[in-house]
Amino acid sequence: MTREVNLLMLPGADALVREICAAEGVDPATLTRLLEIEQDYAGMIRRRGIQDAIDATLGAEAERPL
Amino acid sequence: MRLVTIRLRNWKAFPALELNLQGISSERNVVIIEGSNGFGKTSLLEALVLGLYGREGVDLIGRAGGGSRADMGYDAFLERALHQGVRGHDSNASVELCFEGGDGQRFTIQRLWYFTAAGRHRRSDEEARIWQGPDDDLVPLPDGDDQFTEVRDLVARALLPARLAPFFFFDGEHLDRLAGVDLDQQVRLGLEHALGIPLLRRLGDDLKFYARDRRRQIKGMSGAELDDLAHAVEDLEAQRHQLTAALDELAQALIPLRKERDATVARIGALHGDSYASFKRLFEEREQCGRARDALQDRLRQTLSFDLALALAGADLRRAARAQLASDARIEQQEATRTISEERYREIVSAVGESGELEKAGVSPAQWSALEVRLRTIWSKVWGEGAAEEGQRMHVHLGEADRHLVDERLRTIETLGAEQIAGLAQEAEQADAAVSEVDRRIAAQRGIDETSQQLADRLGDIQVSVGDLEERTRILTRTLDAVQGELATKERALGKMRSQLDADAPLLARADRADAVGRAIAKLIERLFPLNLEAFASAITLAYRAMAHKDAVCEVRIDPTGAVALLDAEGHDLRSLDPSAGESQIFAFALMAAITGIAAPFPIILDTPLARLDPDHRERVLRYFSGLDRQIIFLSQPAELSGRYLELLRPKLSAVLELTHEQGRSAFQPALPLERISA
Repeated sequence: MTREVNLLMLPGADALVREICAAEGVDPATLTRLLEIEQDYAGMIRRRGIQDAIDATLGAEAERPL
Repeated sequence: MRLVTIRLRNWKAFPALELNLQGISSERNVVIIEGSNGFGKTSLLEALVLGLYGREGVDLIGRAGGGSRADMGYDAFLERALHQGVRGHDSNASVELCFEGGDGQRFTIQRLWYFTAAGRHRRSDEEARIWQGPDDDLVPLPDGDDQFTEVRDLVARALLPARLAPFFFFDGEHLDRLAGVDLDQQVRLGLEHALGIPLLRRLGDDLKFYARDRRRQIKGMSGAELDDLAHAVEDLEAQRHQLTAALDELAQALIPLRKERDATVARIGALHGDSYASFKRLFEEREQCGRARDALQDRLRQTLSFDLALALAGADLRRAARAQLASDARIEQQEATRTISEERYREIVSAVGESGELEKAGVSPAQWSALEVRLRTIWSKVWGEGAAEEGQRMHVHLGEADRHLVDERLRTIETLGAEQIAGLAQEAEQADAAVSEVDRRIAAQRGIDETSQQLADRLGDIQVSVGDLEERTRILTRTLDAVQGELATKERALGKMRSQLDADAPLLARADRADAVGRAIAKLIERLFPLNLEAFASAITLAYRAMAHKDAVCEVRIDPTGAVALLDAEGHDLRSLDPSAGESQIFAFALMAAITGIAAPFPIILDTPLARLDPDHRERVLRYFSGLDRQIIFLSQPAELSGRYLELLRPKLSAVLELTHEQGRSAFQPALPLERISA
């Protein structure tokens, strides 16, 4: 996950992300996708579209059982 | 990676620029770009940032430029960046940057921005191109927004992610701001940016907004209520977490103190040949007496603070209040009786009418009607309607039990007088005397020799600390109980409301998902920071020791909360000695150098950063940065890196480039051979 969004590059960060996502029942790929969306909207003053993009991602995620 | 070429077209004061930095090697890794104010140094820095990061770069420029540009937004920034000479008709501007690695790998990025004749940025036409590899192969990129996502990832992988850019492109103002805050905050700010925590926070905020918005769409207000309830539960859970952590901390703090207390008691007992058990009993008695005295003092305080006020209100007012309470009780009773009697009366009349009793008794409906009027009057008399209590209930908020409690309290106050208060004070004094008596027996038993006295003093201190911690534990436990009670109630209410909203399950499920991701982000932020702190602290120590001219600091230590300690050789923290502005800047330099050292081998670009430093610190900073195994580009004022500083850099210098500016256009003078550049 860290490579795609180039975040959390510290040693041990990947394992931490997996552990925390597992505890909250979140797919790490969903977190990655949401971080990408957030980066896509960096520097924008009007950010209405980000809510639709989050909705599309969480819509797919919500169909998965917790 | 080294920056080898910069090409600008219609960028600010540069109508066209090609700057070739080839020939830089690990031996000669320093470039100086000189120019007076307004000649284009900052424009060059902005071109590098926007060329690499596009829209994401605006935030970074905002940081570098004091925050005002970030508010401007990407489009407005670009519209101002378009060279004056091409405004008024369709035009474009571009930035192209070429980087080269030691292994011959190259990475070139070009961004093109198009503008209307009115000077508006045509966002949808923006383009980015990337060439990569030893043969400069054009990298195929998708169309639309995906193109910029792909470019961002390629830049981050091959060069540097945007969140780390502030540590590689920095100017004097940025450094001043960083150095102007407390060291703990500097480290936290620096590391949080290095870890990408601001981005995680922004995402967490957006998810909160999203979840709230989805819940508000559920059946109007019920969705909003659900959201409020969910947040109330979340807040209570956070409170419970904090309280539990605080209680754990207190429990941990109590363990050594209790051990020390027991050991001290045993030592005092042993010194005088008394058995530990008898000595301990005395201390237990002391604690019991102390508690009894505290309870009496509390009662006295309660009496003086609350009861006395009621007593001073006067017997007439208290009697009137009790009479009103009694009246309230009677009115309530009458109202209840009337309601019941009215129901019964209606049941009887209805039963008579329905069961054919009238026919059996030979009573006609007209007779029954007259009879019923009479019956109604008698019924009312029997059930006391005629003797209704006059007036109305005043304390409608009090139920029967509460009324009783208030009445009891007022009745008790009747007997409260100076005698009773004096009696209570006397009891408190006696309890205090009892405590003193036990203290005296303890003192007698332990004797008055010096060791005993010291132990006893220490024991007293421990008792105070233990008592204080135990009191705090009791307060926190009571608060925790209240929070847990409220949490259980709210969770039940939330569960009930959720089951009522099954029909809106899809919206709710999405909001729940957003909450789950939000919680994961919050945990991630909490746990990311302490990761690898030791490595960061070591890197800061190395850089700080190399750049600070005072060598008192041997180690920079950072604890998991971000608190910084500057330790000398004996482990004493030197933070209490207030550092000068220059020393604070050295710490900021060390922090940035540590982060760049751990991150990618990307060039460091410093824009006039040395103004606040004394000559010795300047030399050390220049020596440190020029000694790094990476390209260093100084953007400096003409006199900033001359004389001894230029001589110091000369062995590492690959070029000194001079910016010129005439009639609104900036350009570079042809580079002079290094041997012809005088100090």
